[in-house]
Amino acid sequence: MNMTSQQLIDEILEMASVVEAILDKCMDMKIPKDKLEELENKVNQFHIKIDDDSFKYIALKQPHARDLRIALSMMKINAQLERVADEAYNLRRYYNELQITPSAIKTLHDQVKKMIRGAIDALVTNNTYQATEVIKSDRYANELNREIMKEYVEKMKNNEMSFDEGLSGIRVAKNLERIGDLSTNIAEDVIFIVSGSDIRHQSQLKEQK
Amino acid sequence: MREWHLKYRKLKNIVFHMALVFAACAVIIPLFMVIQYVMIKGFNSLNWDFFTQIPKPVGEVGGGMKHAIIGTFIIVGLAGSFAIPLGIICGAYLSEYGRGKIAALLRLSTDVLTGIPSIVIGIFAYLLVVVPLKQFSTLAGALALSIIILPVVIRSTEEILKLVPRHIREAGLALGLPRWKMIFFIVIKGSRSGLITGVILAISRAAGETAPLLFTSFGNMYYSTSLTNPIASLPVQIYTYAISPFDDWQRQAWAGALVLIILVLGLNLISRLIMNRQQLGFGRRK
Amino acid sequence: MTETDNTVLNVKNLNVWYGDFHAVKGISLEYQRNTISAIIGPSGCGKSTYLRCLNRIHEETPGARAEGEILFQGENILSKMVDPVRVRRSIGMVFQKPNPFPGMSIYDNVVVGLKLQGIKKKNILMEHAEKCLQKAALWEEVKDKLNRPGMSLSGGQQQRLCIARSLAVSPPILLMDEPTSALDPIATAKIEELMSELKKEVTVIIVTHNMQQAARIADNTSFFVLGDLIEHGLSEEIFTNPKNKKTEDYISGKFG
Repeated sequence: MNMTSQQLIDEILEMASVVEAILDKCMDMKIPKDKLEELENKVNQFHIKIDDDSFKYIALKQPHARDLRIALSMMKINAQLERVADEAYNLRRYYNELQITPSAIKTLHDQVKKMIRGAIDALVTNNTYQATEVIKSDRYANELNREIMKEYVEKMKNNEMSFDEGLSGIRVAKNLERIGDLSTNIAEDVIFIVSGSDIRHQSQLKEQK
Repeated sequence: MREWHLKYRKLKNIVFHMALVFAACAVIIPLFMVIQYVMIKGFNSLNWDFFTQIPKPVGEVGGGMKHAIIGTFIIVGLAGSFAIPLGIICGAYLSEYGRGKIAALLRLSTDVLTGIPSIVIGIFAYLLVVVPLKQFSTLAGALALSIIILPVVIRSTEEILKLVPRHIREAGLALGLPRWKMIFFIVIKGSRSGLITGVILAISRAAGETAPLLFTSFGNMYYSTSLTNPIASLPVQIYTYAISPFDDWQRQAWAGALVLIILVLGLNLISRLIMNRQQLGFGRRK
Repeated sequence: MTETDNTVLNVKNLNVWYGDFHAVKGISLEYQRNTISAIIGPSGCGKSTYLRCLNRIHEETPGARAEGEILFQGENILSKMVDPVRVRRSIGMVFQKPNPFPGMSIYDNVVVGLKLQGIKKKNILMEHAEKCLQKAALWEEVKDKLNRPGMSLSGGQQQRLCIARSLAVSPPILLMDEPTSALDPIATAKIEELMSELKKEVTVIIVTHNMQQAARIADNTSFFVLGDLIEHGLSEEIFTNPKNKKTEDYISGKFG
């Protein structure tokens, strides 16, 4: 077995491009469902392969220091990417229920697309500054989510919107917000790889909840 | 109290050190005294004539030992050319195939042979060669010396070859070499300098033997290189001159002794140089 | 296990005794072309004894007796009818202690196997020496001093020289008996690095007391204990999910 840590990263990057494609297309109703299903299956295959490869890499190559951090982080990023794909794939059903799409949802969509792109770029370039920016921008995603929730709840109270549509809209926003959270997790893992520091659960970088 | 123990220990060390130095001097000093004495007595007689002329008729002054010097080279050379290859092969046999009855017998014979007085070896050569040929000869002398050289070469060859570690031999076999090629081209070839040293030491010993030559090659006052006639040799010539009543001959005996010492010492020094050069050349870099 | 076209060596029921001591007990293993197979196990488990039978070097140890079959290129090389010299030209060996031949230069060491087989032409020998030294990752370090004595190199370089020397006679199989156990970690790493290139041309069977080394470089691993074959298979299975409890214990460092 001749695996290197760089090959594990390359596999994650391949998986990420498929996940980003699903995220991009999940709100485009012109694209047929089975196309998305195909991409989702690819993601699942990556999910299994990358965990297996990381496991074997650690068992056989006894990596240390950075290589070890990479192997462990790839397993975590693997799980996070798979959940992003899941959330994106699942929100399509609820998005379908919406008569009109408020601009806030579109903005939130763009925001989380940016966040995941940023986290993956930070992984490629070992850029902890970029990773930190991603983590900071989660605040904005959370704000957008709260706005959408407020708006929809208001509209449902005033009977301007049906319950079905209202709840679907809140659901879509929630999924997108979770994708933002997952991107933040990926960025934290990138910082762990580069600097060896575990910065999770530190309040300076995240908004007060 | 402790201080006294320390001083006592230091004193013991010094006393022991001085005893060793004294023992070393007891060995070195006589050697230098002998060399110095022979040099004083013989150096003035070392001239061109000594090396290029044969003896003058009895009573006349002058002449040299050219015939004896060359005679020694011939006898020792002949003895060596027989004993050295045989000795190396037997030594190799003992080191490479050294188990079993034949090897044990060979080792026993070699050991016994080293212990036989050289004059007895001379008698043996006399019976074997001088009696049938009805005269003294170079061949007889060479036979006697070869019997002296042989066991020394066998023993030193076996010891040197045994120094080659087992895994070197296995590495040679692992390359797909038949055993004889491995022994010859790797073990023996790789022990070249050690083997040469052993050979040189054996030769230098044989070059100084007198007793066995007295009744085999016998000695000759004339220059001869014939194999079936008596031939002069340095040790015998020195002996002949030394017990003679002539002053000139005794002077030349000292010169001959000096030449013999230089020859033997020279061979010893050369063999040391060879060993040292090997060690320097093959020193392990870390 | 059935023999496939890719099998290059097939050991069947090998038993070895040293006098009365039963050192290797009925081991059968197959080796595929262009793979690296490692043998691991605690000291005294018969790994080296087993390996030494594969090129019949065990015959150099007095009292050693082997029975069974070792099939190579269609014949049983263990048989008395087969000349061990011929076997060893196809199955080479690198030993634990680096052993360049004394009194020979670096160049002489590499070509000695070829020269003594009768190849005399200087340019062929030189070309071959360069190729083998490159395969052993030593060429760059010695190309300017081929005439220096083999023993003037460092330990790691000497071992690579021995590898080059074994490769010079072009054996399809190379046996390695703990080749890095006498070397420092950097020299060890250099030799492990060259193994992955090496296996493209040669099949390697390596005995190692260091199981991490087996995990790093070997495609297949066999685990021996006291002369028995406990488990064998792909390294990535043995080291992640072994089937036998003894294997699991050994790999987790619980014994040995």
